[in-house]
Amino acid sequence: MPGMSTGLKTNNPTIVSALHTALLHQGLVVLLILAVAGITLNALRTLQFRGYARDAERPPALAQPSGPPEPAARRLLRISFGLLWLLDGILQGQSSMPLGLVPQAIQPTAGASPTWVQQLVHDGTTIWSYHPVQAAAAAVWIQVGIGIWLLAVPRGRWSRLGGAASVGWGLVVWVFGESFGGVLAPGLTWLFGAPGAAVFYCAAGALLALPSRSWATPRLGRGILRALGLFFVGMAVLQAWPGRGFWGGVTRTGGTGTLTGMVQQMSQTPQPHLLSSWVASFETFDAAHGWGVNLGAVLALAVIGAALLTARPRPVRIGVVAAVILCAADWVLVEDFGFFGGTGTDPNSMIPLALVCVAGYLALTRPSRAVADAAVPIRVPTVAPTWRQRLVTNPGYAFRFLAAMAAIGIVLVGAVPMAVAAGSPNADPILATAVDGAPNTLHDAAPAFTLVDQHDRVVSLAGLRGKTIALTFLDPVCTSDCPIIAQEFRQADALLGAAAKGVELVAIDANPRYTAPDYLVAFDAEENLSDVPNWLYLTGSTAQLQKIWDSYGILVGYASGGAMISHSDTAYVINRTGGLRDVLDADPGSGSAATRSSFAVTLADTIEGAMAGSSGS
Amino acid sequence: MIVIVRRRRARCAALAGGCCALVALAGVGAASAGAAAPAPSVPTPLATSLQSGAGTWATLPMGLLGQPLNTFWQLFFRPAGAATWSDRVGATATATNGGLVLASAVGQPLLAAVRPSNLLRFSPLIATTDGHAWEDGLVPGGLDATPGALATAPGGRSLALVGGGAGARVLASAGDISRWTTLGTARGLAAAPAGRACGPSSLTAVALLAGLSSATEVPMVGGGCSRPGVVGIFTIGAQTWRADAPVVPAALRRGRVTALSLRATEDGLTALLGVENGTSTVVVAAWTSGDGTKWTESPALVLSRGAHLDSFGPTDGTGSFVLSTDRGGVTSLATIDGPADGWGHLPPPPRQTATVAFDSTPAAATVALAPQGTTLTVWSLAPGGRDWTEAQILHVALTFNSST
Repeated sequence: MPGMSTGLKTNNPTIVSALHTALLHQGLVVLLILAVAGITLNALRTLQFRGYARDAERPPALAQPSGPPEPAARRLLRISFGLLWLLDGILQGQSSMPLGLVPQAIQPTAGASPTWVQQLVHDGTTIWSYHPVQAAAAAVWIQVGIGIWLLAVPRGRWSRLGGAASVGWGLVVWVFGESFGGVLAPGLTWLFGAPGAAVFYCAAGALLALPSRSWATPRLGRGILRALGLFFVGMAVLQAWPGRGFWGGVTRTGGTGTLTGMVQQMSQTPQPHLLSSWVASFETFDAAHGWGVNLGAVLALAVIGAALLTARPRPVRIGVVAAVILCAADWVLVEDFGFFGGTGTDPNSMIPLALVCVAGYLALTRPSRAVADAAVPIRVPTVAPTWRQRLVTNPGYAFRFLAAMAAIGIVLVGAVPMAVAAGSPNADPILATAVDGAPNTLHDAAPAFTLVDQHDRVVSLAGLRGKTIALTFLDPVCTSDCPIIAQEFRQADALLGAAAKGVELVAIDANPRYTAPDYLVAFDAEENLSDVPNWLYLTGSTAQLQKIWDSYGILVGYASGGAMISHSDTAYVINRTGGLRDVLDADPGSGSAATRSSFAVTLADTIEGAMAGSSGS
Repeated sequence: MIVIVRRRRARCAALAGGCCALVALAGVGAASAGAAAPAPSVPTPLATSLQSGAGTWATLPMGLLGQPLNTFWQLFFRPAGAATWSDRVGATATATNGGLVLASAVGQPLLAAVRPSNLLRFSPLIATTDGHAWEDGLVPGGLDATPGALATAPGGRSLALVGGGAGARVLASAGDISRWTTLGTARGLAAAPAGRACGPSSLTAVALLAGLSSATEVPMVGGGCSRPGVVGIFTIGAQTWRADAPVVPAALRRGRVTALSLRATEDGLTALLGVENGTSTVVVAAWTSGDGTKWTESPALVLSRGAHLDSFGPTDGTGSFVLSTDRGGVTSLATIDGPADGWGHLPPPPRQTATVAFDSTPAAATVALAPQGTTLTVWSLAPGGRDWTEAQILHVALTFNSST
């Protein structure tokens, strides 16, 4: 019925089941990859043992470092961000991700940004909307893969490559998932996560991608801390800037202040009661003492920034401790942990920011002298071994190599199906199935009809014998479903290509008042159907139409109070011999571009099936 | 030492630069949020009432007025001589979220056009002479959102305004309400000498003025002028435009004028003009008899500061009413009978009143129609009375979410 569509809910069982199935299948592939990597490692170890036995040497243990130890700052970043990527990957596997991420998480952020950002994000997220199951599963495995990569590969070029991968995927998340972290939207504030968590993932990834000699002196630490200091001072200035709504818990008109409003939204996120009560308490406190809260935030940010800018160990230590405390408080009381609500994809910005701060301090105070010493060029008379030689002689290298290969394999497990799906301009048919269920097969003769088309020509079902017919019932003055169904028919016709010559798209008027061909012509004009050669829109007297509606089981009725005519949204596929072959629920759901495309694909597939069945019989 | 000083200066410069960049970013965001408001203009609310041979008609919105697709415009009808109202919106047989535009003329059926909404792009049109039997037609293109966008004349000709904005077109029908031809366009008006003097910002109303010197009615089009003090009322014929407009009082010549409505009467034409003078809205009525070249203007009706127009329309003959609400939610109802009269005020109608309806019978009461959600309360004011009394309550069954 027009107007009775509820759209797709995020927990739609068809989509959730498909996601779980995809994750299960891909998970089995991941296990296979890990098994192959383990077997290969074992085989390489066997070769290594044989080599050492031949040379009468004792082989080194797998975990025994073959070079200088990893700098503390780098180890912190690698392990913590590896764990964060793993957590993010697990969060991406939530049931509501396929259908909920774009409308509930991405679009609201993009909606506050400039138009060009909205357009860019819309273009980027179209892939997700068209292929929600593949996209959600891809995000899971890409992030799990990067997490494993960082955790399992502690040093060397494969580890640095893991950092680069982190930067690449972090940028994708920052641009398309976070709309540039909201930095181009009004209301930008550090308290609410600006400039976006993904920026810190990128920063950490970039640091991990640096050559090992970069960690040898305090210079890198100073650079990190000064950049962070600048960032904190800038955020303090923004927080203090008048007219942005942060200096009052409530506005002069009695509305909520900017921060209070943000916290209020967060407190309404589905989450354990204890957490929501904390956030609600802070909201109440901020509403009462908004000026004081903002002053405290401004001062804290400014002091931390100034301390970090000195790049001297003592003030930096104080600044980092303060930053960690402030980040923790903000994470709990303002960001509300970031990952509740079913579409939270990460723990937001405070944890990664705090980690980068601590890493900066460690890089300043505990540079890796061993790395520095090792970085001193030593002329070695022997020729450096090739990677193949290192693979069979160096257990540590073999482990890192295989771990990196396995991680890349896990990333590809998600990325390849997604890339294949993204290559198609059409949406996944599962969206139409999720809205309407699968088409049902029929084995009845199609009820006869004789009506006139939009050009006043008489058209009968018997006269269309020899063609496959896609039949539906449309109200020419309908304001919601019918124009969408008409577009789905048009798209299906385009998908059929040359085969459309053997197909007639037929709509029968479903409004008992507006039965003149003028309305059909007006409808065709507004829906760009006038030039579709195999499009027929039929009408007749109300009595004639009523008889046909009854014979096809179409319910048509007046609705009260200024609502449009209610009628069944149904499509039939009639084969060349006049037999009803399939019936499709044609409720267009939300009528989004993705569901339209998905229904068109389903209809085109059903028509092709009917054509093949007819030719076979 | 010099090196150290330079380094410090460089750090300060970098710090300042970073802060400026962040502030600039924030500024960009703030600017995009506070986009410039559109140029001030006098609103043209669709809620109104009029009389046809069959009785009195009124259209107003009901439902959840903050949600466009859950706002349903109704078509209420009170047969001539009857006391009670009934809802006839079912005759539209389509969603009325976009609003209804009514038109009538002596001896002609009432026309009710459904404005497009959501995915509908043209306007279904229905007509009735008795309020029971209906004919149907359509206006190609979406009828504009002004109560004066549709007009009909005793001879059966009709005019419609479609397209809106710079792409607005004036359509004419010779009698068949499904067949329309383009009579003129907003672009044509803007290019014509008469249009250049006005600087048309919108087209808002049409009417067919009974010609004295010819057998056929003269099509007239009203609009808003971007030039202060200029009234945009034109006659149109064979793609030519001629200004035939009254002159607003001298005190209002700094304000932008919009023709709120044009209404053909037995004696000529009644126009309602809205003037936005920056601080308040002023309404002026104007009348012309004959060929539209000589006009009489009423005194100015100054709405209180911050008040907004709720409804305007005809009372009887050459008369008009203006319903407004001030900042405090108090409604005000002003009427004017003709060129020889000034504005008078009736007792303030009850809160929530969307429009009022008059009757040509001298002893008939004035009616205020006050919707709230799915309930319409009809209030009655006896001639010369001071208090509005509740006369009828109608419950309208709305199908919420039926247009989504």
